[in-house]
Amino acid sequence: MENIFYINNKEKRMVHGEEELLLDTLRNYGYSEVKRGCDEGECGSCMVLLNGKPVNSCRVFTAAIIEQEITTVKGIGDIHHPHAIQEAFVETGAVQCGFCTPAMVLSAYHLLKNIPNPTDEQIQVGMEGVLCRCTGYIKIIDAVKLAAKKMKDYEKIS
Amino acid sequence: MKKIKWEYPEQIEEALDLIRDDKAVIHGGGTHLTSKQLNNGNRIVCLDKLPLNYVKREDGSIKMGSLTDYNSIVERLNEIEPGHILAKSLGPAATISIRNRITIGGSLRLAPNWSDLIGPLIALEARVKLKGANSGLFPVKDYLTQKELKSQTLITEILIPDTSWDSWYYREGITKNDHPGFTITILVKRKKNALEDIAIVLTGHTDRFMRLSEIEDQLKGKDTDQLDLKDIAKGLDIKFVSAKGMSSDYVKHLAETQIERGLIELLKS
Repeated sequence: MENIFYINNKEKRMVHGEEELLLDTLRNYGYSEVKRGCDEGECGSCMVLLNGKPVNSCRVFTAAIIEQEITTVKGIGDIHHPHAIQEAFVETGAVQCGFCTPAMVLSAYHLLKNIPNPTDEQIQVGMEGVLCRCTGYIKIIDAVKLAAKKMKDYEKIS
Repeated sequence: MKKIKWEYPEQIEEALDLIRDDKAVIHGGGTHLTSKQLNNGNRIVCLDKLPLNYVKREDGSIKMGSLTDYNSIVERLNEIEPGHILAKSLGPAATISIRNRITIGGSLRLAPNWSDLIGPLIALEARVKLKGANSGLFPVKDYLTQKELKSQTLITEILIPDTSWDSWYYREGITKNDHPGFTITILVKRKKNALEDIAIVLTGHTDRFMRLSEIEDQLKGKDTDQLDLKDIAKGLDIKFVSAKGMSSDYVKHLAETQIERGLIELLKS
């Protein structure tokens, strides 16, 4: 099948199998920031935003979401133009092995768009979909708090 | 490899025509289907474009379109009635990413034993609107027990009475994926100290779901100040399967203990 998708605000035509999962399609097309973790919808490493909402791309059939909007972590900022959330993750030491980081950043982005000044509990709930095996979450929560402050200061969210 | 055709009906009638094919696989937007299951069919009928994504108050009911995802339901029900039992049960189900995909209709059709949906729907005496070979409005209880209602039929809407209850929900996460091993739903209506109405539903046992009518009858109409709730649920005639290091008797003991706890929290606080 060949279909159009809107990935990181750009129209993208992709060829994919009828039963192919979005995770596989995205990685086949070089979106390697979308990580393959458990393949069961548990770890959240493969998270993307689908029409602005977090989903596990390993649990979404590509054919089920044609012509829809997909955002990967590179859609909100890259190494040359990092988003305030990405800066905050680096500054607080919230990145260790980095495998879960793209999904953590996307979770934080979705959370802060909806709740600009979250409480600790709201952060924990907002980040619940991604597992980290390195940091123990403390620094990740610190990063989200710092990102909230940065975004408030610079009004960086679009 | 076998070619499978994806169909994207935009109207319910169009979808019904497509699912008359016994080899059609219905994709309701959730996360349950696997690639292997898709390959078992001739065609996949993707319901995503049907206008069945809504939660609205109408004619004394809260009506939920079958393609509404869990997070949208929680958000909307919390606006309609903060602390609604379905918001309590669905809000912590799975994770935010999964709740953005699971649809209420798909979840009811599958109704796995670990579902956070079924207990509250049974307690609320919810009804389900079906279109297709078995069109009509049916109690959810009947839909879950009568297999023939599912054949060549789509769930289009789930209706719950738009009435206010005090509620308590408990999920025992004892399976490897933190799915509930069992769930308890308790709804009560009180007028001053009198317990006007009560519904208690236990899911996750070998009968899947059960309304605990004997306990309800013991409590209904009584003065809550005079109630003795100690061991109220002891000796339930229900069987559980053993789960992850816990015997079936122990799981049953946990359920009995939690029912008592829930009743105390609701009626004695």
